[in-house]
Amino acid sequence: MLFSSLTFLYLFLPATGLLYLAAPPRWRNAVLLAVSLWFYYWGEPVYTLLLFGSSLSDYAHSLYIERHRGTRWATAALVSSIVLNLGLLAVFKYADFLLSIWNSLTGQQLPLPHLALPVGISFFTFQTMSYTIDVYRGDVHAERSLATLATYVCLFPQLVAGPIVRYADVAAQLHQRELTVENAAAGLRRFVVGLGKKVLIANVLGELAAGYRAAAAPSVGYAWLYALGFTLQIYFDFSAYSDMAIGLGRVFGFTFPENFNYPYLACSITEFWRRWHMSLSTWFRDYVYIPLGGNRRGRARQIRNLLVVWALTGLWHGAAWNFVLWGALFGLVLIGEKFLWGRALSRLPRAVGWVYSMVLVVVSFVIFNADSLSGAAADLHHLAGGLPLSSAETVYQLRSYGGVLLAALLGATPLPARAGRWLRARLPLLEPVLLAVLLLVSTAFLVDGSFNPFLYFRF
Amino acid sequence: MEKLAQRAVVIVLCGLLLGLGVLFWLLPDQAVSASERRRLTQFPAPSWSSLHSGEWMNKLEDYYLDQFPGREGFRAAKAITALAAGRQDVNGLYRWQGGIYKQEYPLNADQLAYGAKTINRLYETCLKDMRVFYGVIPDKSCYAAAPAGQLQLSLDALRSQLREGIDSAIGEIDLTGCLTADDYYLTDPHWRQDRLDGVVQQLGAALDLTLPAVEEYTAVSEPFLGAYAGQLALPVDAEPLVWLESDALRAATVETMDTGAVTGLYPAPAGMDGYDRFLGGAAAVQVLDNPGANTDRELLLFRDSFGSSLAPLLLEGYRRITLIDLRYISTDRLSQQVSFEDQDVLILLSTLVWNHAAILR
Repeated sequence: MLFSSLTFLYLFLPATGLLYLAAPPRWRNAVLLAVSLWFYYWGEPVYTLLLFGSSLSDYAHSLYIERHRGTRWATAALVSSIVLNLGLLAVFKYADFLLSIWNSLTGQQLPLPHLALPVGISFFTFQTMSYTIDVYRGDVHAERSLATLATYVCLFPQLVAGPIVRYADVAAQLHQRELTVENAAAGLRRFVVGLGKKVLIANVLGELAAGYRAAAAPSVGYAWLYALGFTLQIYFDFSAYSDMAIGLGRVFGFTFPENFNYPYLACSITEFWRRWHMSLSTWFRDYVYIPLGGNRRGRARQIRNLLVVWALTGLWHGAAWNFVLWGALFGLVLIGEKFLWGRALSRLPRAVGWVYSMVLVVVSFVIFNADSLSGAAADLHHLAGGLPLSSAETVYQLRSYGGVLLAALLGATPLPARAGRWLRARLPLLEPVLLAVLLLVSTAFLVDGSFNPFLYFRF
Repeated sequence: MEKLAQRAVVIVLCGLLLGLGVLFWLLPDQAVSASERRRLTQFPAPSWSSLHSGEWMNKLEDYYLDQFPGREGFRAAKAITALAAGRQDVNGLYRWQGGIYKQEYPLNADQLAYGAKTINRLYETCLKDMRVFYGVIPDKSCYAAAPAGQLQLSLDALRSQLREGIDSAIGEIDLTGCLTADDYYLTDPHWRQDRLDGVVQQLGAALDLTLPAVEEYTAVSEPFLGAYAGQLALPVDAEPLVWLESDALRAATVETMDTGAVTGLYPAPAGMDGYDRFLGGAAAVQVLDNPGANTDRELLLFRDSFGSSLAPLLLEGYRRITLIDLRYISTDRLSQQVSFEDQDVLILLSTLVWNHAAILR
């Protein structure tokens, strides 16, 4: 089920709110678990048992680890838990990719299973892995209640597209949280703003990107328009989902970690990755980069560690070579910034750093959105001038989407948030009216629209 | 004040989510959308298998989209917002000088090639040695797109490809100079029967016919909202749908072969499309008989919906016109319903059909 669907907004969400309010506090986790499983069942009937099985497995493993803490049995249980989680990913996400590599290396023709990807598998497996690792490290206590742990794993606001919430972030709230008007207002505000970002900007820019793929008269200008459009689309799509998730979490009394911090203001790629998908970046930092030695064992090991992390980051986003290339590109640029040109870059005017970062980010998302390596090469060739400079179709699309692109560019800065704070301070009662208009206009686009994919559902 | 504002946010947003959610189930379901001229999705009955496959959830989403309270108002709000944000079209539709137009873009070369191949096959199997012409009825957007700054396929390129693909024994009749944007309805893709004088005279010249001028007919009209009005979802005024009558046309009949029904040329529309006033709307094969004709000549008119309003204006040059819509009957089955003798043959399709010729059977 999509947050940006009429059934979620006007059936699931009100029903969930009423059930939650009607339930006594000690039953509220059970309500959340039940509706979360129903939420997942709605989109993935077949894999709901898989989700619950994953929760059960990590519940049992973590209890075992805690009981045998400090022994090799705990280590064995940790390895078993990680193997099971990675095994789920390997089977459901990477089987086709790995088998096709095997087939091309050996000349064999092993059949590809073409399994449907369980929605959100990359998010919930990373959450559960972080939980068992944290229990093993002694950073958190193993959860005694299966229902509570399953609520953490299955919690519908962040279940299918993050942010990647660590157990430590919400452990206290899973046991004790309050429903307050302040939380509900802040959460609903965040949710409706996220909905507007998704429906009014990301979806519209998605039409621009889809239009480029079907263009009768592509051009260099159209290719850059597409590249800019998709770069903004993916930010508004993913950050909107995070906004909605964080907002819904807050309504129910949870504080989820922030996932974005105006990444398109970054003046280096290092800074970009401190601002983009922060819950994933910090996950790889804490559970891969630092355990591999981080920057403590010499430059060569550090470079190796960075390459490993960025190859994995690329692969996390998709089982295809263009994602590997995308990750490797960032890995190499980050290594370059760390050891070669980072210091020089920091001395240049910020505008130069911003242009450098944005060109790299835009090009990287063109690779990201290609359907294959050859498709990525073709798209880059078009950007580099392998087409006529412009066309009537290019001019038309620029006129048609210029307003939304401009709104998206402004929306990617802190200006709207500042304007919101200014408005709340001076005209507080205008805010509910504006939020109602935003909700209704978003509903209007949903009622009339058919273009409504969430890009990060495939990861 | 801050607490009050927070309460207001919660009450207003929860009120909307809950209120519209409850209203959805309280309001009776609508059977059809008059503006979109289609049946609306009804509540899907759940079954274990449809739940387990996810099919029921998808159908329920469709049900919500179709039956949402205030749906028409929401659709209008979307169109207004999109245009205010600078969008040049709404779902491919745009307004220009009071009319509603739809982009037809790009040129589908494969579809045109298929269309030409279909016509050649028709010629080889049924029409050999007959006097055969074809023509392209320009989409009205061909006349509006350039001044309106919209995308539109090149009519010249379309005709050029058809000329190259269609057997040279079939002559082309060029209608592009006979029409302007004003010759079409403001809210509908179709042309206006009362503005077809240039087309009729051009066809008459090609077919060696002397046909009455449009001014010689009596015009009758009724209010009409065309297909584009509902699709655009913005409020528009009705316009007059005009049909032309004469003593000869009043005496003429149309027989729809699928149903065997015989009516006058302009029966009251049975469905939601006012343009069905012309010959009763879409049909695979129809026969127009002109009992007062002074000639034995007959015409086979391969047509789309544009042909329904054109055919009556050609009828005074023929004893009988057989209208064939290849969207509804396959070329292979034609000889079971139509006898091919020594008729004139006119293949007249709009750019909308030529550019999506895969719908021809």
